Amino acid sequence: MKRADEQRARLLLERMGREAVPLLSEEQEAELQLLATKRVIEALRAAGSYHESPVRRRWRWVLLAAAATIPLVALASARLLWPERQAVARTAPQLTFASGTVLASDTQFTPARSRPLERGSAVAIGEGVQTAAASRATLELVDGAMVDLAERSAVRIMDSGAQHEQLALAAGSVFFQVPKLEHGHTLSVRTPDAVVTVRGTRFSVAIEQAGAQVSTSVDVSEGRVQIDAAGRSFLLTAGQHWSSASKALPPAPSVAPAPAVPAATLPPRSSAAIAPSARKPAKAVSASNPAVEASATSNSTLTERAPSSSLADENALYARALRRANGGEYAGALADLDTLIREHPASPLLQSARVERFRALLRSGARAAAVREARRYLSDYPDGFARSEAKQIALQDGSSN
Amino acid sequence: MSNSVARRPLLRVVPNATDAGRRLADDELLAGLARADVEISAELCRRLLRTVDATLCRVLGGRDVDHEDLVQTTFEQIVKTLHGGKFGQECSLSTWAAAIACNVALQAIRRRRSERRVFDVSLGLEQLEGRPGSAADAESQVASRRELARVRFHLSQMSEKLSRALLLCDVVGCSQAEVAEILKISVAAAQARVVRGRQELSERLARDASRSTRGGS
Repeated sequence: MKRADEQRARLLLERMGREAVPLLSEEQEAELQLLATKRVIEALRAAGSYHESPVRRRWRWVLLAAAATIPLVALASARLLWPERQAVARTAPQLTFASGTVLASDTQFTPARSRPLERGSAVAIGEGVQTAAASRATLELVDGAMVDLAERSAVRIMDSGAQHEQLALAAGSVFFQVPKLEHGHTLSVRTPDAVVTVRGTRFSVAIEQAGAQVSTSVDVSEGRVQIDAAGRSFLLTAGQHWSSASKALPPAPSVAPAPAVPAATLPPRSSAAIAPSARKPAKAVSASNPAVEASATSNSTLTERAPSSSLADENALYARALRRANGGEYAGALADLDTLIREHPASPLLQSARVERFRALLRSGARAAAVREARRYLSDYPDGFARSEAKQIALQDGSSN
Repeated sequence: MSNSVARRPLLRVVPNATDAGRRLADDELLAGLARADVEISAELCRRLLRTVDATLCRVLGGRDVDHEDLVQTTFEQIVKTLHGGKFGQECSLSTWAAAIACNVALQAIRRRRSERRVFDVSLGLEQLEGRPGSAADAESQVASRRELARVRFHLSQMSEKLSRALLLCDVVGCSQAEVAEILKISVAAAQARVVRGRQELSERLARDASRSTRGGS
């Protein structure tokens, strides 16, 4: 009898091992794969630093110094011998900010051919950059334009030359901050049904998909952009909104009740990218174009709404905190983040600042404080974009204590 | 504009993507991990994701809100053990990953038990709804799921040593030599743990059965 019971227990366990597992959807699998890859890379980095002996660390400095000298000499020689090389080096956009899972893919965004991107990674022409759920990224293009990718967005770098930069938006929503470009230099964004060409401006482009129907919407917060769609060209000015779904050319003001200022409504990360380079302030829109005249009211609202002082301060603080954290200056980063949190409690950057705070604490070695901060974040933002990361920190501490 | 270019750090050399047509051997993956190769890390995740996911699902009885976290924790543990030289290559990388996933899942079950979270079989019952088949089929599947839920509960109550050995041997399908290698014990000790584990589990299940009989009468 006892033997039969044992046999039964064994059969039950074996049945558990053979139990059918519900299939993961392609999207779920890709998502899990991204998260796992990111964690593996983090774990590898952590493992590398744990296993480093003091002797090896000392030698590492010698090797690093030697390694740093070689490219400097090579660069100097290259500049002297092949000045055109500089142009080659400038043709690569670069990821200046990444939060969550950000991947570089081939032109078709094939999951199997993707690689994780981190801050500082170069993105080659023809490559795509995509963000997973709850992830964000900022690309700096060769001409200094900043491209903020919202979550679940994908852009491809089609061309990145001295005169023309072209991106293709494949999914999601992207915010552009384009500085005054040199004469003759243009930047354009291609969507399935429109091409948006800009000079110096701030605007966002989004693709909306309803079944097989794809539509593009553009919001301009500063300057002007040219839109080519359905065989026609027209200009869109600050405060105006256009959607290819509405088929209105030029855009009717009623469509766009001053949709606003992306700096205020955009996800916090997008705003962060705006601040440091002292971009042009939001200017009053001239109503010389009759199409624009009709929207003068909305434009004036835009100017009033533009968060000229406070948001700039918030952006500057946040950007400096990130720079300091990236440079290993955690105390300074924490001081900036604390100031931002204390003095701007209603800031759209608040959640991001809280996240950066526990990250900086963790990286600075203040583990207990990082855990406390992560728990506070979870309590204040139970559905926050960094909840997985915060949970992980809280969980690890719980198991170690 | 020239300033913005000057601010930019030197470009990094990006390695070519791994040739998708060629399957890397376990050795190559391990060597790549030792070099902290990003491409190899991605390949490792692609290779092991389904194993890890399925093992977690089976031991926990489905995917719940913590599933993503558990998958990530498993991969972190896999890398730590591989990097720490704990993987002796006596079993395949996939078996090793399944063993670690088992351990992570077991820890999760035990944590849930301490948090007094109920083992929910409703997920399984929902999945059964709407499936074609007779009422008798559905009833037997519900009964089967309940039995497995009880097994999971008892595994969380038993000593961790015995539970791990049982999961590795009977759920993952490791040989006793592999169980011994993974748990870093002798083969004899592994065999003893498996036998004692089965005994304890069967006793617990028998107690359940007698309790429900008494309750029914």
